[in-house]
Amino acid sequence: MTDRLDFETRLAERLGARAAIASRPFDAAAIAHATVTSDARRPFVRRLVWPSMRPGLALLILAGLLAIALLAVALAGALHVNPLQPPAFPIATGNGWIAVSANPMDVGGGENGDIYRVEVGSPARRIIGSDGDGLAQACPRFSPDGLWLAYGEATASGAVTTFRGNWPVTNRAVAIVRVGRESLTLDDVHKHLAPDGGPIVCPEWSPDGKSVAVIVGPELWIIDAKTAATTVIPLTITAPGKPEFEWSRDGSSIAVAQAVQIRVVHVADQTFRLIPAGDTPIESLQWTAGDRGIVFAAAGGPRGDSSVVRVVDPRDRSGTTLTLDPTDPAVRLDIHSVVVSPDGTRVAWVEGSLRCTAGSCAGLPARLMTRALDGSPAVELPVPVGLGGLQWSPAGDRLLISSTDGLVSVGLAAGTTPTVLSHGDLNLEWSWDEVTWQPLFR
Amino acid sequence: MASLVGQIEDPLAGAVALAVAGDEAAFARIIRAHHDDMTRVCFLICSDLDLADEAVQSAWLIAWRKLKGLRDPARLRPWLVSVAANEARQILRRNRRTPVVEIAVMDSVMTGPDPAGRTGDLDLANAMARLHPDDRTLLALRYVAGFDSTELARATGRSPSGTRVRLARLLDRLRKDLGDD
Repeated sequence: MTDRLDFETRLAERLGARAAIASRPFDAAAIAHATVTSDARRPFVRRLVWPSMRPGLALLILAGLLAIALLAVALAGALHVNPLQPPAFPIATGNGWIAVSANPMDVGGGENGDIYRVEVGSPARRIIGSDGDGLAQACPRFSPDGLWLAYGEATASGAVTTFRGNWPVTNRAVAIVRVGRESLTLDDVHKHLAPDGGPIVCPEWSPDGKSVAVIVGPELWIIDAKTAATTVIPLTITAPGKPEFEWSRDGSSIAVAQAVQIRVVHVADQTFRLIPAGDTPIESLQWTAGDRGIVFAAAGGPRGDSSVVRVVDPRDRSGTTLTLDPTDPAVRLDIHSVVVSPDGTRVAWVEGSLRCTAGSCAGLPARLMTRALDGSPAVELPVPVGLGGLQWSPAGDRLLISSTDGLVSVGLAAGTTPTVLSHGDLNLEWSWDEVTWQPLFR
Repeated sequence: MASLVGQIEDPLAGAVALAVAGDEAAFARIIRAHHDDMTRVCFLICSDLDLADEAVQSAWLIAWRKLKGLRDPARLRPWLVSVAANEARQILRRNRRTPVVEIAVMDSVMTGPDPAGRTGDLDLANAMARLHPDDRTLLALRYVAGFDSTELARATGRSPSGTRVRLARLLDRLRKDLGDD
């Protein structure tokens, strides 16, 4: 009995010591504020109260409701509407102009981040920002209808000393401006201030174009593009740099890369699910057609020192690897910029590689790879320039590559000539994901 | 004098009333007093700092919404810790996490000079990982939060005697797993 008591005492001490690992400094006021703010902005739910009534009347009402439901089903059938299908948003039929946020060429001088218009046959033109305005603009994003441009804006920091994601900018804001279809007229501006201090915010449009989402510190903000009404959803993001997140195609959820997991936040009620995605941090989150899968890049391969593209089913969490391991055991892959086509059926990525022998490693030329999600093998697309950021054209017929070499688009169809949009006159060294292509609908 | 004793014993009683009325600063005082306990309990259940943080974050949201339903402010701490523990179990269930055999012991534990102690910590972590989340919850509430059998019974939905029996069996199992029998 004494032994047992001794063991219990020692166990209590050891459990206490183990639990003490979790004791870290915390900001009670910030937690309280996040909790109270989050609760205040949750959807208002009115409790349904059934009035007391006679049984006959209740049956009559039930019969009426049943009749209405049957009528709705019949009507939906007649209109070929399946209420279980997520809303389908149109895919662009054409590719408009391209907006790029670029830094000054002279690293260490000038101001950081203005937005330029890029199109074939014309030099890049600055359309937002000017020398001496004291403002930095970054992450331009065309709305799904191509009529609006959202971007992050902040008081410019000083000299560029590291990549943009870690700038300590202040007075952070999201700006949304109206863009003419055929002109550069910017005739309407909405700005929504975010708290000071931290990396510039990068907006992402909801698929219906009604709101933009940004991550500000440990919070996901969903901002109505017309009224600026904001919903704040607390997150626990601990990874440094630019947080990655992506709206689902039906707009009901947002996937957030959270270290080795994907947090799928349900926008309507702010509930979330965590999907384990392996043992290493993930990047390049993208949803596939019908929101049946989330594609991402992560470490993998036979020894775990290579990288792979994986797709995970958010419903049952089953996963598939979309890339093949290198046949040469001395080679390990370095995959980045994974992007899914606008129709959600193809994936493309940049596949760098490194051959390591006898204690030394040498980089091999990066390749642009693409494959359909139906299981067909990956194919390489020839590219005349270095590979950096990658993006699909709105119509899904081309891929846009940005790097320090410039901005080039390549077609998927065999024999398509690459189109050079910029010969490196814009500094895209830190702008891999800061390119947006205007969708057109004819 | 009696009221003074009451204030000393229950310094957060006023904060609860204020928080129920919507006072954010009062709610922050409650968080300051209990956040650490809740996090430590959740960590022992989840064996993962991020998941423990998630659980506590969810627990605070629940607490804010349901604080007005707390009839006895003196029971604030066991109530909050129970809510957090329940959130930790729910998160594990949603994640369907399979207990792992080996767990990396955190740096703060590894820094000790005693290699035997390090091995012991690893053994304890592995033994905990092999337990059902409900059993880890029971251990966390008993030995980290210091719940008595009545509080344990309230938190776990068992009878106090059933809780004691369960705890005794758990101790026997851990003694064997840790080679202490």
